[in-house]
Amino acid sequence: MTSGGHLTIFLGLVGLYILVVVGIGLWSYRRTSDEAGFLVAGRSLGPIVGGATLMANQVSAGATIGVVGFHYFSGFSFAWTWLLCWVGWLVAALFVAPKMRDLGQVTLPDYFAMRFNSRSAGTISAVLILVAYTFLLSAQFQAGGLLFNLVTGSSYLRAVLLVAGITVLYTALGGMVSNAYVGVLKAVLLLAGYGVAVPFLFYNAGGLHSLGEALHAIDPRLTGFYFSIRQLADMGLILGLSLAAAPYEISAIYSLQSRRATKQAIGYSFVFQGMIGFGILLFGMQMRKIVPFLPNADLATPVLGTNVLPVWVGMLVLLGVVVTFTRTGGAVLLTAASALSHDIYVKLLRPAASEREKVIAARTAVVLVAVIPVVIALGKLDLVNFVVLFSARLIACCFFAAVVIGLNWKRGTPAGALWSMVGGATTYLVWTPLAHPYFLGFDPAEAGLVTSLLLFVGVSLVTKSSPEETLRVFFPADDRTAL
Amino acid sequence: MGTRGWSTAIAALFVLIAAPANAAEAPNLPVQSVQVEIRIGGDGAARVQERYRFTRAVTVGFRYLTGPCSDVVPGSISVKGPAGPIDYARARTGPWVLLTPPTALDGSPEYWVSYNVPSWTRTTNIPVVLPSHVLEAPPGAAMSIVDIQVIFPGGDAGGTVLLPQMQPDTRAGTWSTRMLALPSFVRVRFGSGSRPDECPGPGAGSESGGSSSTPGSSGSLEWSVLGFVVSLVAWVVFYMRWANARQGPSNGAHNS
Repeated sequence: MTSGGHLTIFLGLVGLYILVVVGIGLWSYRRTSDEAGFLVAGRSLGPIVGGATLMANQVSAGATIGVVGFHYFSGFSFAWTWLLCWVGWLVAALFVAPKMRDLGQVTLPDYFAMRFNSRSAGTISAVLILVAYTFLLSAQFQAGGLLFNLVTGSSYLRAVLLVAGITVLYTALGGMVSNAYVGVLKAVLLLAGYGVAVPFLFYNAGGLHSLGEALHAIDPRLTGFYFSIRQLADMGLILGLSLAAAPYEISAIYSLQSRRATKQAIGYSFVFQGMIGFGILLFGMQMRKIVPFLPNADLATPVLGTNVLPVWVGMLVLLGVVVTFTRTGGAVLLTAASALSHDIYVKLLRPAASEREKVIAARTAVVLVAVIPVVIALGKLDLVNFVVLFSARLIACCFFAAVVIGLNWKRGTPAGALWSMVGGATTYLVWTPLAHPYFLGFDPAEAGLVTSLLLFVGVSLVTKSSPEETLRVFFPADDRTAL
Repeated sequence: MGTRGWSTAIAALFVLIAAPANAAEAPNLPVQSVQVEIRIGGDGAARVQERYRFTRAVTVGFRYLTGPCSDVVPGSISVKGPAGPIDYARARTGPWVLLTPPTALDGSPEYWVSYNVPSWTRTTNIPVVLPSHVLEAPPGAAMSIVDIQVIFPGGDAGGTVLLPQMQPDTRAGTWSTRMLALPSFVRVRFGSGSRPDECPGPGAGSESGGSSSTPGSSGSLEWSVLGFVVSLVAWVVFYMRWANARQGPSNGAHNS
């Protein structure tokens, strides 16, 4: 088959993917007649679909390209960040997710407004989400748009509009239900591609022993520890802790059927993540043996898909990359749209809106919220990976303390929450340009997190608590987990 | 869209999501083109000829990857510049054989490398002698600067290239591809001839008289990966046991 066959297969697979996600959107449309149905799937997701949703939110192109590249240049040790990230998920499972799910709310700002009896806290958090997720969404559109532009030959404008269009269409049609089942599709595609590619690589490029010999001779750190424990913790643990309070993961948690389903879903997410992480690890390391002098480590996945793997398998792996752009974009878009429609429009301007009006507002917000990221993507703000990491770490510095401690410490006050959100975000923004990679011994995210934790606790101790009736909802008399 | 388009797509994708890491520690070399021709004889042995054209005079170190039944006949390696043959020193580190240029070498804008590779098995890895450097295409030029061609003997109509992925040429028995960088080996399968399917053992496959097994440590990679997988599985098992355990009375309004 000629190399033109690659393009034909790729276009065919992408076309099929578009048809499937539009079909999912149309099927989901009928199940989204009220706001809860649209924004949180009517709280109907079971553990396996929920697990795929949580995984699909987390595993973006940063993993399918960026982490493969990390393994290419640094070898094995980066794999431990998956387990470090899971520590963050464990914090979520123990201290956040079940209680959040039980609240029966719709968005993370709902939690802030309810827990701290403060409309300001809810509104401020909604604005922060809207800003951070606008940039995060632009990064997804930019990455996906450029890929389509170069692979299909269409103009960059048309390519960005195509990627944004796919994302907006299935999200506007089916909301969280669409996102959930496209997440299942993403899991299936990634696992199918990796499930064929990994044995092919073992058979044709050699097993672990010959791989280890080849890599160890290039650089012993490739088979040992390339990064320090602290560096691995900064990369994995902080990401995991940020996921415990990430608005789009909180929305997914609200969508689960029950407290038990919530805990099980996190477990199934571990299963999906583990299999994908194993495949990513082997891709990166095998590519270092097969093509040891790539100009840049992030080329490992594209070269793997086009030059190393058999045509169909390679195109399936690259389709997985495309799916990660659009699926993560859908989750980010829905969360940002809910901040606009539910937390700002309905709560502040139309509190008496009917369910039908709320759903129309939510669908309209999905379309409106996508406009600015498209404009930013067309301007190509910055490297995608930088924008993604920056946004995720900013969210962690804003929300981690107020969510995790707020859910488990009665003494947390509205003033403490506000100071922690603003202080954490400000510290992170100020620290970032000063850190290379540390300033005063701290990474920017470490500094932001520590600041937000200290402010939450310190300010709470000297300010007034939420009313007792509010606290009773979060800390019933028989709750043994509360501090 | 042909190979050039794919190469441009790949290059732009990495610019988009570029990490600052560079795989090689040696300096990058500015290259115009690289041509590799692997011509397989009737006896299955391969004659490999490579040509490197750089945009300026450079000093290049080379290396190649050996394995069971996969080696270069050492005495057959020839590296030439425009001024004639260059005497490279040979050293082994693990499965890699490093070819180091003489210190007095001024550098050359062109190199020709040729060597022989014996064939032992029906499916065989032909080592590619490659520069121990990242090769950079000139600014504005297409990033795909490596052309690889594999030519099977006329009688072997069933010969195929398994890795990297190549396309059949209009000439029978010829396969070709363009890539961003050189692979460390080309894996082929012969359609005819009687050869064993499996390599007889780690010591086989070398005409050098020495072992072409891959001495050196694997860095315990197998144990690291096993430890990683066991950790993942153990985590999931213990977590799911906890998650599936029956809970006490509900604390929240929507618990079930």
